[in-house]
Parts: sequence; structure tokens; C-alpha cells
Amino acid sequence: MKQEQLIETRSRQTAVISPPVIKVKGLFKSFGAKNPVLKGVDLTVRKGENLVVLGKSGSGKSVTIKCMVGLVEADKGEIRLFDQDIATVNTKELNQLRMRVGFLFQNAALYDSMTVRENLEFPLRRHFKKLTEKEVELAVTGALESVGLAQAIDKMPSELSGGMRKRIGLARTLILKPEIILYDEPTTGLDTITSREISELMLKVQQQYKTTAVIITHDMACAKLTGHRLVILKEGVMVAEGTYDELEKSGDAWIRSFFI
Amino acid sequence: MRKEKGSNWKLGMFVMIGLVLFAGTIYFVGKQKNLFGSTFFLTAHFKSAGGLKEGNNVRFSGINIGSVNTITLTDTLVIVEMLIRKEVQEFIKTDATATIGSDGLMGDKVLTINPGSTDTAFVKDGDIISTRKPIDMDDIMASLKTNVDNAAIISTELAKFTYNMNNNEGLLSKVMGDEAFAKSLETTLTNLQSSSEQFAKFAVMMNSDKGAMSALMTDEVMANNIRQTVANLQNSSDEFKVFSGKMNSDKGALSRLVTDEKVGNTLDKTLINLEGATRKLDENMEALQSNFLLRGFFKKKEKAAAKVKADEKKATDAKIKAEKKLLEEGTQGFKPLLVKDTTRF
Amino acid sequence: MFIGRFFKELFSFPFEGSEFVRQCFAIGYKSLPLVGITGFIMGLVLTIQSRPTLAEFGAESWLPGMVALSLIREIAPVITGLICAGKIASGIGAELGSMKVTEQIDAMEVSGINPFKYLVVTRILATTLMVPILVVFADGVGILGGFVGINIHGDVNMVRYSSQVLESLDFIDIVPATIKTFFFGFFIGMIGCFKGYTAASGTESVGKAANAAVVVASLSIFIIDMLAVQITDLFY
Repeated sequence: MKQEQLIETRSRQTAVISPPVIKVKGLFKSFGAKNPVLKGVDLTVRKGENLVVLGKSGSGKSVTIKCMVGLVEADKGEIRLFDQDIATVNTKELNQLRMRVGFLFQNAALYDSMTVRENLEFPLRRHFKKLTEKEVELAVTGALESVGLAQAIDKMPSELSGGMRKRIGLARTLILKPEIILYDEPTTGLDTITSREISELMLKVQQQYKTTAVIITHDMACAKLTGHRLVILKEGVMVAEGTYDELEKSGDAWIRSFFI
Repeated sequence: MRKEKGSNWKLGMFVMIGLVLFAGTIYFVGKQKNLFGSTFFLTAHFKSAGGLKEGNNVRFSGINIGSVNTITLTDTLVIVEMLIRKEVQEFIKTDATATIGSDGLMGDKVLTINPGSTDTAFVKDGDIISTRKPIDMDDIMASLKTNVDNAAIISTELAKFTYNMNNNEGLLSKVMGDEAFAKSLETTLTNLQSSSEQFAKFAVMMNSDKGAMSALMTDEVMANNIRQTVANLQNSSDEFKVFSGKMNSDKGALSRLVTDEKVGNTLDKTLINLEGATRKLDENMEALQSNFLLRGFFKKKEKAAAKVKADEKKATDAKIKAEKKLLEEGTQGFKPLLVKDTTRF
Repeated sequence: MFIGRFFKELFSFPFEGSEFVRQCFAIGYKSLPLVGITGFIMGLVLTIQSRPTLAEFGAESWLPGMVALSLIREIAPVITGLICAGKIASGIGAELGSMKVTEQIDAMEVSGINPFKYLVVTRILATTLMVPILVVFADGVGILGGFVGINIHGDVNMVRYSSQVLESLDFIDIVPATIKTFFFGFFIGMIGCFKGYTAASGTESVGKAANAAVVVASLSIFIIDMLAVQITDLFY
């Protein structure tokens, strides 16, 4: 019942043609001379949509989103975040842009030496120095509640399970109230049930925080559930684009092979 | 939050103790170098700094009172500026002198200030005090070299001398080594002994009332005869006295004995003659039993011969001893010095 | 390049104070027992080992001075440096290496925080300032160890001993040795951070980073020591 509602909203949002927030044009990246990863990727992410990027391992999915936040510097091509070229902005402006973009890492990348609370407080205190203790506390519990893990606030990351870590990681991205969230393999290493929980959480978060999302995955269940639009990368090039249903019925056998 | 405060406190303690320890060390070392106490300057001009370095101690009556601050070189002089504790200023008089010395065998150089006379005024800040030439190692080495050279000469001479002595050259070796000479000397002594015995007998006889002596006392003609004889004897004894005096003096033949080989040979002959003479004298003695005055002369002669021998021996002994001692002293004198030197360099 | 970035970031405005203090605590205070024990043992052993040789010259009275001199000039800085290379550089190398591998450093960067400033600058600064203090402690404890070592055979009271120690010291003994410990600290932090921060992906590289950090840091301590001796020699 709940899920149907979500899917309905999703289709309604897609119907509206919203302005693009991320624009990637002709992106090239190679690690070493003989190892090209990206060979001219073009992508446009519109406000409010969930874009799923599919592809085999090594097809350059992760590199693409890392390029989007400037973690990896592209060799060639243009990346525009909120209509700003990230190659030309200075560090300070880049950091301002980065605050508007959340990034959930494959293994959540929680800071091992800090408790959950400190993990969440860490970016907040650094960006909003004038916040009072109470405001910080409120933001932390709010973010934790929205991922359903308010009870884990004083635990260390090592005490958490894989699924919990992902949620805390998500909460840490949410605490800065980003407009875009980039998910790097959000369901990898989780069992099917937990994967599903995470996927639903992603949808819920999108509802709650009105975010745009780029989701990198090779988990079709997750893609089906969360993606408004799917993009398939093959050897550093975008080969297909469309909704889940469209691509499932694609004439290309290689593309269809993803959906089996 | 509570835990963090605890750790901050510990960190603070850690850093504080570390800094205090460091500052304390710096302070004490600095205090030793008179950086923090009140001080004054003294200057001394040297021809040579003799290895003195900046930071070396300055001593006054054996007490560390400061350190060498700067050493400046000019065309002719080395100007040494000292930093000295204020409280000793009144003890350093204007006529105090500075010398550069060593602090132990392997130690640093020290600048020593020798106190001046008590009735003069004490120095003021920045005064120049007079200096004495430092004892330079080179000087010591130079004087040592002269000593060594002398010792070498002495030992060569000594070696030559002993070689000659052992190889029957020269008079001394003859005196000590010639058997014939010794025998003739012995015979002389034996003869002397027998003549003295005879003389003793004569004396006994003279004392008794019987015999010629008593006859002499009563017979007037004989008395005159004897008187004449006695006078003659007196003359001859005087002659003997002169001879013995010559023999004892340096100019006499006996003294030449030690230096001249010819004399030695002559002496040899003389002794043989003397042997003959004494033998004759013996006979004379027996014939001339009536004269007691000769007794003294014979004794004297015996003694003189023995003395010549003993003196000669003593003289050579003493000479050898002296030279040995000299040589020993020489080697002992510079042996420790040499040891010192090897340890120093 | 890494060093250049360090100095650039060091003087750029927002300074990570609390992280710096935290690192100082972890690096300085937490290493104190280890450094203390080694320092004590070095002082003790040095005294016991030097005694026969000095006794041969009849110079046993030089023992406190000699022990203090060798401790302050050479042994305490180098031993402390090596221990810190083993403990701190490897720790930093492993910590930053694993942060790199598990994308924690990337996570910091994408949340708009300068990880270099937060992780590297604080750590290098902490080692640079803490290692000299640790060396001072090692000096102190080592000299104490020398005191105990002397009292095994002879009988010297504390006041006499410390006055002998202080008498034998000069600024030329303390100052260059102290300056060089700052370099020790700087390079320990620097190499640990560099090896960790530039670790490749994969868990294996964490171990490699830690290992390389120890090896290079230890080596660099000897090289710095050698250079320091040469430079000191030039001025004295």
C-alpha cells in the first residue's frame, strides 16, 4: 500500500520537466595511459528525479559520480553542478557546492575513531560554527530518526552492522540538508531484506528532504524500486537510457541481460 | 566530554612538566655560564691564545669565576674578553695577571687570573689586565729535546770510558788489572811490615838498661858520636818529609799517576826500585837499630801507599755512580712527560 | 609537494584546535610510558657499560657527565625518535591508510571538510611539538637511570650527581640536540601522514603504509641525525 503510493508520486514527479541540477558533458578519465575508464560520458540529472546508473564492475560508474563532486579530477569534459563548472571554481566555492551534495559511500565511510554522534556532528560543527549545543543535538537526533536509528547515537561504528552503517552514513549526509544525494552502491554487501529496507529508506528520504538522487548500483531490485530513470554505462560510455520498463524491453540482448 | 577534559588536563601536565624540565636545565646551565647573574667584563691581551676557546672557564685562585666571552684576533695580539661574576670583582686587583693553562691532562684550556697585591685597587668593568706568556707545549718539547741530546752525549762518553777501562788501555785499568804491579805493591807492604817489626824490637832493646843503649847513656865519647849521627838522621828525615809532602800534593808524581801513562810506567819502575830500596833500608834498619825516629816515617809510607789505591778506587766509583745517576735522572725526568704527551695527542 | 601543502594549509585560517589537542594527547602523553621506560633503561645501561672503561682511566668521576652528555646529545633524541617512528609513524600510517582505503578521507572531502588540514596538519604539528617534549622526558628519566646505575656500585647523592650533570652540560650540547628533535618529530609525522594519506586502495595497502612509514621514518631519523651532527660540527 505504502509502496504503491511512493511509486505513484515518483511517476508524477517525472512527468514534470524540471531544470537540470547536474550536467555532465563529454567526460574523459583514464588512470594511466593505457587504462581509460571514462570515454565521453554525457549525463543530465534533473531536479527531483532519481537517476540510476547501471553497469558492470569497471564500467566507470563510481568514477563518474566521484568526478561530480571533484574527488576525481576529470581529464576532459565539463561537469556543472547547479550550473557551476566545478573545474573552474575555487576550493571555497567547491566546498560550498559540496555541501549541497550528499555522498553515501559504498561502505558508509564512517569515521572509525568517533561515535555515531560525533560522526554526525563532525560536518555540522565545521560548517555551521555558530550553532548552539541544542541545535546540534536537535539536528543529530532528527537525522538519526529519519533513518530510524536514534538508539545508536552513542555507539562506535565498529559496533554497527552493515545495514546500520549505511543508514548512519545516510544520516550523516542528510544532516547538512543536501539537495542532491549521490549513492555509491547503497545495497552492496547487504542481504536482500536489508537491501530492500535501504532502498525504501532512500525513497522516504527523497520524499522528506526533497532531494535529487544519483544511484549507482548493479542491484536490479534497488534500481526498480528507486529509479525514475535508468542509464547504462558500458566501458566508459553511456549505451542506454530510459525507464526501467523501457530498458527491460530493449531490443539489445546485452542490455536485456541486466534484467534477468 | 568529561573524558576529554581529563585528557586535556593530563596533556597540560605533560607539556608543562616537559617545558619546566627543559627550562630548568637551560637555566642551570646558563647560570653556570653566568648568563643570568650580574657580571662584568675584563680584557687581556695575549700573544697566543694557546688553544683557548670561547666559553672556557676563567679561574681565580683556583675557583671558576666566569667564562671567556670573545676572542678577537688583531694584527699582533689576541684579545680575550672575559665575563666574570660581579661578586669577585673586589678580589681582582689592577695588578692581577692572566695566564692560559690547562685544566687537567685532557681537559679544556682555562684562563687563570693570578691575584695581585692586596693593597692595590680592584679592577673596573672593561679593564685590561696584564698577561703572562702561557706555558706552551712547544717550549716544553724544545727544552726536553736539549735534555735528551745532553743525555745522549753523556751516555756515549760513558760507554767509551767503560770500554777503555775494560780493555786494558790507560793507567786506571793497569792500576786495577795488572797483576805484577799488585804483587810488587804487596811485597813492598810485606817488607814495610817486617821493618816495622824490627824497629819494635829495637825500641824494646833501647828501653832496657842492658846493651848498647845503656852504654850510650854513660859513655861520653860515644855520646858525642851518636849526637852527630842523630843530627845526620834528622837531616835525612827532613828530606823525607819534603818528599812525602810532594807526594801528597796535587803537583806530585802520585797525582800524575791518574792521568799519565808515562808516569805510570815510571811509577812501576819506581816501585820496583822502592822495593829494592826498602830491602836495603831493611838491612840498614837492622844495622841502625839505635834510631827510633824512623818508625814514624815507615808508618807514614805504608799509609800513603794504601791511600793511593783506595783513593783511585773511590774516585772511579764515585764517577761511575754520578754518571749513572745523571743518566737515570735524565730518563726519569722525561719519561712521564713522554707518557703525558702520547695521551694528550 | 606534500610538505609544501602542509605549510600552505598550516597557515590558512581555520585551525583544527581540538583535533590538534586530541592528537597531542594521543601522540605525546600516550607515548610517555614507553619513552620513559626506554630512557630509564638507556641511562642505566649506559652508566653500567661505561663504568669499566672510565675506571680503567681512573675517571669514574666523569661518569655522570659522560652519561648526561651522551644521553642529551645523542642517545635520548635518537632512541626516542626511533620509538616514535615505530609507535607514532606506524600508527598514523595505519590510521590514515585505513581511512583512505575505507573512503573516510573522501567522505570528509565531499562533506566540504579539508581532510588534509584536519588529519595531516594536526598530526604533523602534534608530532613536531610532542617529540621534543618526549625527548626532554627521556633525557630526564635517562639521567635518573644513570643515577641509579651509579649507585649500584658507588654512592653518589642526588644533589652531587645532578650538579655534576649540570656542570658537564653546555648550550652546545642542549641546543642542537633540541633543534634536531623538532625535525625528528616533523619527519615522523610527515612520513606517517604521507604514507597513510597516499595509500592505495585495498586493505593490503594499509599494512604496507604502516610498514613503509616505520621504515622510512626510522631511516630519516638517522639521516637527520647525521646532518645535524655535521651542521653542529660546522658551527663549533
